[in-house]
Amino acid sequence: MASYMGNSFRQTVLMDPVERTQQMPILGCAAINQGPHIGLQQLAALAAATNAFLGPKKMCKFIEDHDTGESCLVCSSHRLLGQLDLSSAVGQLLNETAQAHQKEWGTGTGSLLFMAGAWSLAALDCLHEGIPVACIVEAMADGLDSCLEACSQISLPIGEALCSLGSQGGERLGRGGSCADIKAFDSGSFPLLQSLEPTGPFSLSSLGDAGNTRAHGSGNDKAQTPQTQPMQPTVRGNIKIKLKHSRHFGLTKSTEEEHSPLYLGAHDLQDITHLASLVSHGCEDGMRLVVEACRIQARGGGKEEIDIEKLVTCVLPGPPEGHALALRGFVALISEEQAAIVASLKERGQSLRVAMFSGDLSKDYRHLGFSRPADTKRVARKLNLPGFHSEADWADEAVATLLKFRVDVVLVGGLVVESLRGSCIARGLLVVERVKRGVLRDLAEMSGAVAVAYLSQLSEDCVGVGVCARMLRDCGMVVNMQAEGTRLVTAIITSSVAGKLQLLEDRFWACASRLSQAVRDGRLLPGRGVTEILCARRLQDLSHDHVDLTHPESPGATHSIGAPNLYRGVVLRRMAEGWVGYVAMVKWNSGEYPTKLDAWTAITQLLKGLEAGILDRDRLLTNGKGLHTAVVYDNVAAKLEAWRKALDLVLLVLQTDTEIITGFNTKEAEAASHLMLL
Amino acid sequence: MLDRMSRISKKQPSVCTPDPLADVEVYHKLAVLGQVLSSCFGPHGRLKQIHNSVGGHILTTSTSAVLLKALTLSHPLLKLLAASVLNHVSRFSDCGLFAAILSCALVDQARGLSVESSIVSGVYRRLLGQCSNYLNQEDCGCKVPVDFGSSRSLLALARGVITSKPTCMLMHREAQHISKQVLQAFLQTIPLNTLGSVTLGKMVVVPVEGRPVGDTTVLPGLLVDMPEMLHLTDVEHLGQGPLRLALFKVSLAGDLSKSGEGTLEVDWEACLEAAILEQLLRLGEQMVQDGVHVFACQRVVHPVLQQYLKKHGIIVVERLGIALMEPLIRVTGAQAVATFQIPIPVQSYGQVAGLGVRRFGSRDMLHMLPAGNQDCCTLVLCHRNETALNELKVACQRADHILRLTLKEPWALLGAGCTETHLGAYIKHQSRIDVSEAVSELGCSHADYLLAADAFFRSLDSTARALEHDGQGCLVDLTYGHRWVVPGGTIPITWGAEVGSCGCGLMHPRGNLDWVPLSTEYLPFSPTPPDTGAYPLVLDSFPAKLNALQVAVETANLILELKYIIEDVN
Repeated sequence: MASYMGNSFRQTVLMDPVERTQQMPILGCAAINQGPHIGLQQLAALAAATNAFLGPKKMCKFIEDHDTGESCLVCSSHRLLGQLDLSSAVGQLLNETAQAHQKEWGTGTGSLLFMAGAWSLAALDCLHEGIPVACIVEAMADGLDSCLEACSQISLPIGEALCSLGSQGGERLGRGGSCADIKAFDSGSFPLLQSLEPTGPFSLSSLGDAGNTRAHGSGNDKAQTPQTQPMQPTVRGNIKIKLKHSRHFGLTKSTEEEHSPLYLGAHDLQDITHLASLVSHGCEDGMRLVVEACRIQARGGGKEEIDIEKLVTCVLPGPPEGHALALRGFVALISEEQAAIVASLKERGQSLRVAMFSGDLSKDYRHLGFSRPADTKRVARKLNLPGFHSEADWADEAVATLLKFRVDVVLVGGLVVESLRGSCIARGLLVVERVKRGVLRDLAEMSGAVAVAYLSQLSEDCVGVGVCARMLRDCGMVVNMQAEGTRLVTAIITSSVAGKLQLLEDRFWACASRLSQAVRDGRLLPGRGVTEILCARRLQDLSHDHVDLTHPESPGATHSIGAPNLYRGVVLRRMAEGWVGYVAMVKWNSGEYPTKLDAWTAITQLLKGLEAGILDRDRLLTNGKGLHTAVVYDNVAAKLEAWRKALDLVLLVLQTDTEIITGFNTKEAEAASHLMLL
Repeated sequence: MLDRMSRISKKQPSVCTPDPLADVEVYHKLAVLGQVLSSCFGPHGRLKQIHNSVGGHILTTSTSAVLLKALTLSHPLLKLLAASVLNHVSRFSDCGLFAAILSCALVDQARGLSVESSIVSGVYRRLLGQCSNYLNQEDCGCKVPVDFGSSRSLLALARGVITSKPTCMLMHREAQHISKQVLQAFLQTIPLNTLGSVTLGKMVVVPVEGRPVGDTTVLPGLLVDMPEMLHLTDVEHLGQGPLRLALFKVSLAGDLSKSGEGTLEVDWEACLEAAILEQLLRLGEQMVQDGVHVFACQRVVHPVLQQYLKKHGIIVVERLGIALMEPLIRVTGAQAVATFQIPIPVQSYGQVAGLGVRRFGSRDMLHMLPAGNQDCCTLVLCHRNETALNELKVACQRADHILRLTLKEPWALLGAGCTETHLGAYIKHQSRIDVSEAVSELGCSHADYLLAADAFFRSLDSTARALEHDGQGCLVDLTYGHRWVVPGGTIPITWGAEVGSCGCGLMHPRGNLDWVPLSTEYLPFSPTPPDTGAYPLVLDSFPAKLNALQVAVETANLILELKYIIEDVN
């Protein structure tokens, strides 16, 4: 009986109710998905759970596990999804997408989730209107594609963004620069400003189609100086920079800019500091720490920009948040006995000798891929066993080996067996466990050490030199270790509330990612929802276009039989609403409007204004309350990638009609009578 | 414990089920599977999410090979169908869904007839023979020659495979780019010297997640994951020129290779690991003496040996995996050594022309340039997300296989359903012509023959109809027998104003063409071969489709003729 149950795993097919009624499609009957599409609904519902994390003012959430009684505090969408028990296929897909994005980019996951939800709703609406799936897919893919294209034109070089800091920017330029600086500001200035200029001929509607001759004709005589303060392009000694019309230069920009030093990654520290304030997104504390880390890296020599691969964090419960700091080298928590060792080692200065082990340090540890012999028996011919090694013998031998090579510090990627740790402490050796791979790699490079797997591998060549260790004051049992010339920086994140540590660490990494990507991209997108509004506008424009009979830019268009997509306009308008929703959510979250509806109305009004050419650009740039000293900017690549991923996910779910669950057995299937067992 | 329990319980006798198709439930299961598969069909096909409900990996696909492999079906009939389709796909890569859908349709149509199933299968078999004959004729109306002088037809074939899978999530230009790269990779696998028997090289696909599709590229030689502690300077240090490579397929992790049954007794004083390590180091010494530059191993290399080799400037590449071994042997000319206990003969070493480091996203790869054979290449396949990348990888490998098959039979069939409708029209016409001959041959009644023949051609039509999923209408023209699509569900007065070009892109609406909806009856006519000078835009693989047709009919016949299922329930 047991064996019978064992092999009777079967499939169960869940079909959308709509699909089931449509078993035999009859020609001429256009009964298309009119019922609810469960996958898209799930997607929208899950994404809505993360809405509170959008914008600079984030609301934290408590997640409570009813079974264990544990709870945790989350303040970012990827953490929330990671904590939820996502049993549905769509939930799992959403989580996988979000985590993959977070891992790769470190920022933009919130907007990925929001857009996934918003576009799911848009797709659902389209389905309710009876639009065929293929048309939705085609129009949406097409729409995003042209928005991404538009974004590459809306984006502006870092130099211009820095300039928009206005008076603060002047300070930056106070140092003796060369004419290269001017050149950097010269070309393709202020696309944002230009595009938002309401009275000029460049209404937003023409944004994107750079070849617009109407705009071109009157463009050149309209070189103007902007009136608003935040955008004042004051360069060294109040030289007014002539603005040229961005959209024309949008196309030729890259050639010119790439030659100017500002775009070759030669940012100096002050640039970085200003840049950091542009992309801090309301997280000044985190960004301050990132800039500090950057400053330390710059002091270490080499490129003067943030190297995120040489950045690690160490969370330290106890000291208040203000105690957070960045330090050269790496930082580890140690025991009290070891603190004494560090104190004695400190006297030796830079001359410590270090050995590194990539795995565990124990008698039984074997490298990855080693399979232990299964059927081996050890036999002895006599009773006293000279060859027998106990754990303690091994530890003694290990310490002897370490001492033979005059090792002072032992860094281990894994764990160290208790007995060995004890004897190391007794002999005045500092042992640090669970050292991260990147840290080991950096220290190995700098000190000349080679990370080995076994003690027997240790030789004179493998021991690194030139490392110093010291205890940190005011931080408890924390050791700081540095090798000469290292660019490795550790950010110590502190909080007296232990539950907040992960949140603070996440924020730090988000800031670091934004800054490093801004440097890598060399360009920025206007923040505060401006980019999204422009995209929404772009889609609205496209939706008014006459139906073009050939849409080469759509998935599978080679197979479509030249049939025009009649629903294109409707789909694009729904898609644009997704972006409006995003901006409304951000504005509402940040408290600019009392209700979501107010925010939504305001943005819709704004879009209408853009359309009619009576836009109040200050509303877009300065919160409508006055001038801001700093403007907010977003990363280009991370944001566009997040949108792409969001739409990919929506389209995948949209095109899925059947969910197949494997490993379903007969009894389960009988219990769930609505399931068909295959 | 369980073992003893099962010995106590009495063995159950086998269960015999007569006439399985008569069971409504079985029939229904077959219909659902057929529906699941037909909803996958074509570039607008619907995707399937497969998972195990306990948080396992979610597979999203519409590829028959991937889908059927992921399912573990319960009923022998379904298993039979899945097995035949999978077998077909493993040999021909394409048209798996076509075979499955047609097979289900043939069974379904036969069930509705009041004709004995043995007669139906006899008719099916006869018509299959007629189809094969027709498709193999030189003047077959739905076949075009593949011209190796231009890339057009080869590109159309490759693109057909890639665009027919919506999970790949490609824009038109991206699909075009991928097709070009696949074609280029395929062309690189054709060896230059054609003396004697020619074996094609190999295209290795390296998927890179998170990069734009446009970054997809073809590189000569092979890419392997960069060894973790290797630095760019180590590679540069080796310099140019042919480098000697040693290749091992045995694990060099220092563990004891399993040498058979039984327990091994080892003296306490002997240390097995040390003894093996000593042998490994002796191997290392030989490598240094023989001037080996690159030391490659399919599995793990002991860290001590690695350290020794690195100290002597040898680059160690471990954990290559079984998939890379064959191309690596081809590229380097090395023999994969399966031992480390005895000295390695010099003949087993291979060569690489040079090493380089290439970066794709955040992934560093070691690039091995071929020294001798130039016919292995690497397709670095980039896509934004994992799901799409997995499907695209399969699609590219299938496209490569299709192109290879074309070398043997340089023909292609019209794609996008035109072959099905054309063949249907042909069979309908043909079956009316030789009724008397067929009836005397099969020994059945006139009416039975016509009923079964109609079932056959209706099945072909329904396969063509399965390409549409959004309620569009399918038409067939009454001259060439091509498939046409009309948007929306309304029936206009004249079709000519509504249709674009036919499915395969060969025909455009003309004044003398008449259309009827695909599911309606039309008078038999002999479809004429196309008379335009145009070349179809969408192509299907000829050998794959021909075999799929055979597999579909044979499988359907097998299911129809099945009288008993005998199951061992122990």
